[in-house]
Amino acid sequence: MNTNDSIDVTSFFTDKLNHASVEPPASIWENVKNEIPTYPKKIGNWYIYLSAIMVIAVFTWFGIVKTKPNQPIIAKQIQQKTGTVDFSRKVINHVSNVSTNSTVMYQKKNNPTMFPSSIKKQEKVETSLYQLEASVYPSLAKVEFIDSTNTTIKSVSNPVVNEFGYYVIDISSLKHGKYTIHILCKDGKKYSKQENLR
Amino acid sequence: MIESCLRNDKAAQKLLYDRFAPKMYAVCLRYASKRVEADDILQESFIKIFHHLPHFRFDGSFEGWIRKIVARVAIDHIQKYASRWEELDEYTSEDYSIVPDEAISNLSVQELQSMIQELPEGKRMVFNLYAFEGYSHKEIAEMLGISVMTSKAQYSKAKKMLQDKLLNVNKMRYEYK
Repeated sequence: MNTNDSIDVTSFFTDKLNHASVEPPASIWENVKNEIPTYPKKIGNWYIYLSAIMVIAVFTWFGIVKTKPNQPIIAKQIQQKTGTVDFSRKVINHVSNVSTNSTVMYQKKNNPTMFPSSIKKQEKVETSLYQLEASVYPSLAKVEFIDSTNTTIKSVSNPVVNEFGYYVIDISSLKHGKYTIHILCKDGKKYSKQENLR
Repeated sequence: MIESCLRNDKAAQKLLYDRFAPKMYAVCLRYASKRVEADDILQESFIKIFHHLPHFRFDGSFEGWIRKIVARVAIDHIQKYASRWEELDEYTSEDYSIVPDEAISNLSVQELQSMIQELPEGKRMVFNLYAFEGYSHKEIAEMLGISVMTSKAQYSKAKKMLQDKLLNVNKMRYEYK
């Protein structure tokens, strides 16, 4: 230290004392150690990860393996209803093209209520269904779809009435266009009408 | 070491105390007017340190964190047990410096600590907080419930008193020789 230079009092004290150490009396530690709290045990991260994986595994097992095959009836109905809503919107769109007094109804998409047995099938197959009310045509023998070139494109004999009281005919193989539909009943009555099938 | 302390490792807790207690005791001695008061401050500080250890966030210096606790405990302790110190309105921004000749340079840590300990409470606290802990006069004023001007005045007076003490040491040694 250069003794000829004056230094600030604060600097002198801080330089000398800032890193000073003085051994405290041993009795202080004796008092301190009795006051140290017991800290709660820390759970290791691996334990948290393992717990999370186990929870996910359990939920997955319950969610996929358990619930799906034994899906409750109400859940099934909700699912079907949801399907019906979409379906109905499509029906309404299409019905607007059909004469209002007609009893036939064209449905673009398969109706889950018609085939409740296979949900997968409904999603997969983009079939168009043609429905005829069985109460109007109680003894339906044949339905024919004739295109604009006068060619019979589809002919269905003795269609079966489904549980909802409709004859349902798959017309997915038909191209979009104008068709003449012939209905032949077992009592000899014939009906005919033209429709644009989209 | 902190992690071990939090796992209730008694040896680690003792190690932590042994590592930091001497430095903190020196801090306590600067704040306290008597050794017994410094003992109380150190004890209270370490009890607080161990109680708040789970809240240490490892994002800064652990020693700095400890030192802040010690300073806070010291202030609380002095304010609690000491008589209310006088307020000064006068503030002089004089330059208090010394020429550290051989006698001053050879002063021991204990002698220098005693000089600070002999300061009146208010001056001692302000000097410690400003010079050693690095707080501003505004922060000190808030901590001690005084005005900024009072803090500055106390600090200025403390420096003057310490300067006098150092000059006196010099004088006494020359006279002795």
